[in-house]
Amino acid sequence: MEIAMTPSELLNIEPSKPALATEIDISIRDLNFYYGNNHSLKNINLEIGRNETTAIIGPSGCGKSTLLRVLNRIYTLYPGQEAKGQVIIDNQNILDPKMNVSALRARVGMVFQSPTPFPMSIYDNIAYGIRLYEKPSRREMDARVEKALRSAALWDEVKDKLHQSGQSLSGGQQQRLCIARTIALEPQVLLLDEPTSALDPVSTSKIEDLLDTLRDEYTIVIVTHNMQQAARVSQKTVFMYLGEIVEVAETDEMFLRPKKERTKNYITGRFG
Amino acid sequence: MTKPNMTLVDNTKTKAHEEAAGSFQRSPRFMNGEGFNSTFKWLSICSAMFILVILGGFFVSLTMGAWPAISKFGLSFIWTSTWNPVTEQFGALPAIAGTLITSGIAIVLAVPLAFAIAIYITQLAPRWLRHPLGIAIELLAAIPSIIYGMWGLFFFAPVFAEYVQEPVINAFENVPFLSSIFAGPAIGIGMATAGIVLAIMILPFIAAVMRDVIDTVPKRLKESGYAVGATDWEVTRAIIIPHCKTAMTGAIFLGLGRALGETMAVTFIVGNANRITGAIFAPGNTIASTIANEFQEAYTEIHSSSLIALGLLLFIITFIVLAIARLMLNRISS
Repeated sequence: MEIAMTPSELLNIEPSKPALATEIDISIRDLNFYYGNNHSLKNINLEIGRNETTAIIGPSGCGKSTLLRVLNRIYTLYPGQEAKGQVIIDNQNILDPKMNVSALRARVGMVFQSPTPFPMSIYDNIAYGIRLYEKPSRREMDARVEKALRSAALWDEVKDKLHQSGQSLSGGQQQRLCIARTIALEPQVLLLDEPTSALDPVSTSKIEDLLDTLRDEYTIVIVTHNMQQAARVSQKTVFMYLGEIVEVAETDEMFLRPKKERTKNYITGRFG
Repeated sequence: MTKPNMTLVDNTKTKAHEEAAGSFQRSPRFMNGEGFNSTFKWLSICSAMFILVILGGFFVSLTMGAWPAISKFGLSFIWTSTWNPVTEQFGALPAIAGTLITSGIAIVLAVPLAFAIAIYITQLAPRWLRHPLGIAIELLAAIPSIIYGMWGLFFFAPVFAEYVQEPVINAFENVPFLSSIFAGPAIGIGMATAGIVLAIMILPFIAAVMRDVIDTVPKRLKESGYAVGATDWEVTRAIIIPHCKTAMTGAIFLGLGRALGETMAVTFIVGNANRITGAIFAPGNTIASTIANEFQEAYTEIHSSSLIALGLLLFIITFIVLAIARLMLNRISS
């Protein structure tokens, strides 16, 4: 094996690349997914870097949500859905049947397409998840709830009505409550499945700003059908088509100079 | 190539338009104006009004039939505990108490079971089992009540007397308070038996309605419960139950409404004794069973009028209970 590099090879390392964390948080190997007889993810291989935002884009039905739903194994709620292959997080294959899904979901949180506040108070929406894993004192819990709401940029809007129903909030606030509820568990990964598709533009930009600040602490994977959103919030973009990954690249790279014809057609809106 | 094509398209368009306009003017459909349509409209309005007429008619005729009893006993009819055709003293309290006790037992037994069934069918059962179980529930609901009555009298009552009543009466013999509740002759029939058979009868109704109610919980809401790591039970308790609390109560009231009015099965097994006792194994009576038992033998006007007054009471009670059930169930659609 030749280890030494020539000076020209060394120079080939692109200096233009932004300094991204290169540590790999999730590595997906030979993942195949089946809905009954429908082979909906085909040989997915993907590495997701720590503390960066990865956007998954592609036309409806391309499997982008399915891929996301494998990462916290939420698909196991439905009989007939099956994933084969490996998804490694912290040296553990999370597809291992022996994996404790509750522990996994505390580490890999998920926010859904439409806001889904639990039918309880704003405070309890946050405290509920925490109580599933630990029994903090009253004061500690108050602090945890406040911290989560502050991180989700919601605290100032709700601090005077923590005991009102979470469902009384506006759509955008509800979605930030769902993000707060998820990060209250101090997860490592945040999965977002089209988190702004049900929101107005103002709420959407609030969520996007929020994602930008959360990136320092969490690995974020966002599925979106909005390409401007992918370009705005992510560092890396994955383009999927018919259950396969067509192209993975730095987001700027992908939107400026897509390598594959199909990617180019999709991001320029020629099909979708 | 493009130009001739364009003209062709334009031509057909105009032609089609002309044809449409022509048929609009000539069609026999528009010759005789409204035609049957207005008749149809009036027929359906009348049919719908007929329902209200029937409902009102029931109330009026029951009140008229009950009038002699109402004018003789007044409101005290409701809390008088004597029911004696010989002395012509009639009070509804034993029947009301029996109705409430048997229905209460039925609800207490049926609701937890129905809830567990609904949760199993909607949340836990494998897909292939859900449909057959749902059908089984509907079939259980379709069994005529006379069959429940026969089954209760000939099969259930003797078994219940031997294996439940005797041991329970003996076990609580020396316990104060409980000894008076679990008292009565161990003959199988009585209010507890009626309550248990009623529980089996209303179980499928409550379970079926609860199943439908639970099915209205949005899939994503449940998923987000699982997504924070909750288990089936935790999702059920924290999300499903609070989300459909009101509608579930509606389902319970629906079952209660049926239990209150159930006649045939109860008449078979309740024991038909017109007295009030706190003992649940003792024979008793319900409003419906009193009417069913005595109507044939009610020779005096005041007797039959008292029975009709009982009927009026039952009508009002079930009307209120079912109205509450409806109101609560309607909340989920909003």
